[in-house]
Amino acid sequence: MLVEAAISGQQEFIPNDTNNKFFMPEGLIGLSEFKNFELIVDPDTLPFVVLRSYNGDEIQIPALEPVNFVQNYRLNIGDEDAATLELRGEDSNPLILNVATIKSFEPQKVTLNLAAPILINRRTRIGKQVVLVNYQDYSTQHVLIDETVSH
Amino acid sequence: MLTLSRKIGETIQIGDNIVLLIKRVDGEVVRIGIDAPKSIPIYRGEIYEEIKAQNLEAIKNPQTSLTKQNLGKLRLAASFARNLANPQPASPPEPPAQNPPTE
Repeated sequence: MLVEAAISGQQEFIPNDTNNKFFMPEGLIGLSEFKNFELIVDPDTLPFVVLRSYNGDEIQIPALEPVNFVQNYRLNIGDEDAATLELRGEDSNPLILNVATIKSFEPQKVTLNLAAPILINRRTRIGKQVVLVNYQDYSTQHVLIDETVSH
Repeated sequence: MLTLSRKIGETIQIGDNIVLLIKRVDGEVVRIGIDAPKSIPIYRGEIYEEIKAQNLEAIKNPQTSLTKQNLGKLRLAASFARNLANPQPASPPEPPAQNPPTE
């Protein structure tokens, strides 16, 4: 199925103090031991959000919604992944987050993994890091702010 | 690493639930069918390694924490990137000046 990153995430999944949790049955790729996550959304840090998980050790992963940051981002999602996430009917618009690698807090050093976005079903709160069927169209290290055009 | 020779149409059984089927060999390309429980994620090796490396890099944040101050530093830059990606539609042309200023 094809999901367009054109729908703003300001829909149902609005974390608050009591309900910002989601579950990733397979964890993140290479980090499968972390499955229970909290989505930390702070107005002072948007568009960056933080995925936090604790299983004895804590990890914090910065991410952002690609809406408005990546032009024509088309996510071709395999049938099995779509089924796992139950992306159908009213649940066809998952929350889309791309892992941000922040090598330093210089803006030009921030890259996004567009090849494997995290999709979260807004209703079931089940999430998965999905390798896009069309992953070869996208980089795992997409530069968020291209310094050749940003000044 | 265990190495086995197989012919087209032959399989390899891994545990009780995973079967690999050699479907076709075409020059340097081998097509392999995989039967495995849905709970076992299957990836092409090179993309798996690349994504894993990015995830591990992403949790290794400078100064070990993503503080509000640190992420805040990136906000302005990010909004700039957003504007680049989504140029505002050109504003309607200014109405022509009716009376050029005179000295």
